[in-house]
Amino acid sequence: MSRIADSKLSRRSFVLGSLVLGAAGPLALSACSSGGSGGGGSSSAGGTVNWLTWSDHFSNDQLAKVASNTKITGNPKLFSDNADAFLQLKQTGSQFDMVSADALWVKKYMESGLIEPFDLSSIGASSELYPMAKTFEFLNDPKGAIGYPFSWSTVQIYYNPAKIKTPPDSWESLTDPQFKNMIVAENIPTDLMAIAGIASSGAKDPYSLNPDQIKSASGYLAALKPNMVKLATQNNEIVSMLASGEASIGISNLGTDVRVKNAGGPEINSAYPKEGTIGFIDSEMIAAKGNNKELVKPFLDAMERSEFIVENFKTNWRPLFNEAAAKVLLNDPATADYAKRLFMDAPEKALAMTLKGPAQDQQAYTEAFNQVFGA
Amino acid sequence: MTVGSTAGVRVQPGASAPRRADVKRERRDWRQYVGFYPAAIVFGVFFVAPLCLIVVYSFWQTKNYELVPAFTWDNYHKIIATNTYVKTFGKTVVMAFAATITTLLLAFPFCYWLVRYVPKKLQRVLFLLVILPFWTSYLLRVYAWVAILGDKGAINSLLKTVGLTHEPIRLFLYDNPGVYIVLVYLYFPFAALTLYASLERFDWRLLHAAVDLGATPMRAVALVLLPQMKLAMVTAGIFVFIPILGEYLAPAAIGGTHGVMMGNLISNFFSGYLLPLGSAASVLIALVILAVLILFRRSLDTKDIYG
Amino acid sequence: MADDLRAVNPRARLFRTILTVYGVGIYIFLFAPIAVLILLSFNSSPVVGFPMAGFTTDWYARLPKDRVILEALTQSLVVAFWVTLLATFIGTTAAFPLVRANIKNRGGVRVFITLPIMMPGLLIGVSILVLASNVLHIQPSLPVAIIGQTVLAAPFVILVVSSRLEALDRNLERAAADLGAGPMQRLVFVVLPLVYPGIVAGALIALTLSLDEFVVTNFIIGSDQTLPIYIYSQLKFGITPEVNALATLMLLGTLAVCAVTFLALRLIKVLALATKKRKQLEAV
Repeated sequence: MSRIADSKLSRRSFVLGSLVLGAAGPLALSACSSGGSGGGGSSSAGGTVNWLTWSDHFSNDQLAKVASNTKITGNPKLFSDNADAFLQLKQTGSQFDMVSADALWVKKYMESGLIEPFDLSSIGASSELYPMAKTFEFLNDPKGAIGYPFSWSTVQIYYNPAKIKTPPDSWESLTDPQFKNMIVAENIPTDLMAIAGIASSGAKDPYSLNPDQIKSASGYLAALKPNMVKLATQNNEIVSMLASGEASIGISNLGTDVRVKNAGGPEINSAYPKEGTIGFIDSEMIAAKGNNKELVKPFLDAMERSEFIVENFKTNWRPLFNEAAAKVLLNDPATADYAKRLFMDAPEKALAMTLKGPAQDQQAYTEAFNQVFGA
Repeated sequence: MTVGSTAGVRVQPGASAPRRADVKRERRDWRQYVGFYPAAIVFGVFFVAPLCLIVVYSFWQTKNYELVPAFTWDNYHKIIATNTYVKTFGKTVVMAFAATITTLLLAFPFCYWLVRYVPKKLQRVLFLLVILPFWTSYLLRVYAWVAILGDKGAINSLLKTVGLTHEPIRLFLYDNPGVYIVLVYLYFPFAALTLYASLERFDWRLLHAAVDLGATPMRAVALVLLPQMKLAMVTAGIFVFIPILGEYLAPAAIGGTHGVMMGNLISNFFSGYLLPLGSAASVLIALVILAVLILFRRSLDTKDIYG
Repeated sequence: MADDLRAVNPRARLFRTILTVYGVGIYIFLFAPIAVLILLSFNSSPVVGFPMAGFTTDWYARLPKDRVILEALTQSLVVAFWVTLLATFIGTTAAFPLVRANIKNRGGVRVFITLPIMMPGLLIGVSILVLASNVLHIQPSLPVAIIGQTVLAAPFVILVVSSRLEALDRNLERAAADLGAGPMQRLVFVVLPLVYPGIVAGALIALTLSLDEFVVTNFIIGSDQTLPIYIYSQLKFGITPEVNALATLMLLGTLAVCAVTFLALRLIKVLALATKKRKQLEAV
């Protein structure tokens, strides 16, 4: 009998041993983590701002500095398409405190009750903005500001002159068969449809195409498709494909040429399409249901200071609305030329382009786009 | 670790059947099913219910980001009537089939070699190496192929150093062949896992007997081994074919604009909030899966594969 | 066994050589991407491409300072911990009735259980998202992701544990019952000690599956991010070798965990053998 008890005991210890072995590692780590995040969330002054944004709105160094100065930690989650972010905010409700969006989308967020108005002047950093940027019609509501203006850019054609003999000068010219498998553009159905609308029917308002215009727009996309090598998931991919030579033409934002060069790529030229183009004005918004939304204002105040914006320009090379940063960049001989050429000193130019926004009939746009690129 | 029939896929009803009488007491009442409850709740709520919901939604409509519960066949009609969707659907099935066949053809001789010509001790280690890729980020493995096949990739760089080329050449990337290669790469271990388990259990004396009776080794393999492997082949094939039907990351990363598969279409539909259309496309994929499962239901007893 | 076949057919040697070369080729195919991934983690230029610009270990040095990566790593481990726990519990409890209960269509139940393994993650992820947000009105979040991953992982545990159970000699339990052990005692002292390698293996599968799960998780995790989600966003927004460095370390980590588990199981076996021998000696 005692022998049986013996064997039971040792077997039980084996089971225990193996269970402990399996559980100990993760357990210890999860204990560490809950300790860490608990410490961050409980203090009254600091906390975490959950931020749905693009990668060019922040840098890791910047987040670390802001966190050590203000005890507010920015926790960015990235998205690529405005429509994508809109849906994510709609579905996740209180989990995000701050969201980035393109110009005309801001109104849609407001109409859907997803964001809340705020007093722009209560954010100290706003005193560094160009005065005109504070009064953009689409970033303001009778109840106050609804978006904090950040950066802007037109979307144009970039090409590698070493590989492109006859430079494209219009959207229409991109469908030329000689560009087969050479073009890369961002995978943003709404914006590509808008460009197609401008290209095919010269639409004045490419975000509210009528059914006929949608039809001719998808005709344009179908003609463009053989020339497209890839729909990039983000702007960075356009830069890397132009740099590696996998693409020779990119439909992309201002400063793409500088970034390609910095990535060790070839000389890139830009072409402004004859038919006109679209562009974005990015802004930050406060989510109406965010759990930590009261932290957004002090967070923005710290994030949008000119010292960070200067660095941001030197990484992403497209104009921003911070006037103080513009002055620094224009006075520094190393960056003055870039700042001028990339319109850091001319925010009014932002209003000359057709602004990105939600499509009037989003479903029709998505469907038309999918019908071309879904095969 | 493994008991069961030689081919390794049939259930042995007799295994727990003898002397059933003496445990009958415990078997009769409802308590014997208690163990299923947690699984039933989790699978019921988070697997069956969601899939049913998808079926329901495939008959609804959306208006301005809101679902409208009005019965319609429109979504299915739209998919069937749109040329590109039908083409993509067909291409996805063909691609999955081609990748599955290739994976099996690659995996069989490999496993044969492993079981037959590698010493037992080394065999275990080598086999572990086959599963090792599973422990590296799936996403990074997919993107590593861009770094291999790309214009500035490893192969092009090698060709240039050797002096074979001066300008980078486009190696399958951003088109269907690239997707095909990466799919075969991703699913090879699945097939190898199943075939290895089955080959390892094969009674090689049968092969010897055939050779002794005058068959050439090739004929012996074809006439004795292969028929025994049929079920394992089918099981392996199913485990490769079905997941590929829903692949969307590999085609998105490798396929460019020309290598799109059904999964990309579905993910586009859902991210554009075309829920009903996306649901209908999902249901169509699910129907193909169901058809495959019904067609091959007999080879699906997986108990020995993970034994 | 291969030797006597060779004696019969002289061409077998050639055949064997060809197959060996082929086998090596397969390993090259399987490991080329991983080799490239590890190589690029030492690339001094952040731009992906060959030839490498230079050798550096900077990317590894940066890792412990990257707050976002560390945050994602802890999230991953928390999720993996819960998924392993839940999946192992659910899977093990379900394996018992699957093998032992009176079920008419056992094969059918098995096929149903393998469905979540085979069903494309895209469909599972999307449908859970739709159910959670449209019907249950739960926000996509970490707990939803944990449940979603559990759905994927539990079937593996069921399959592994049930095959172990199947192989169990029920006479051992009968013997224990004859000696007066109740159902609970039999479970704890007879069945579990014999089945635990299956449970541990199942738990390990659940753990590794959870750590790398992306497709389903991405749809249902909301504002949090696990490592694969972070890696995906890095891929989208311009990958740096830092991610490669992270993946390399994780590969080493998993190998270490497996080695430790393997050695521990070995040790247990050796100890068990030793005790058995001792007892036999005692008995004599």
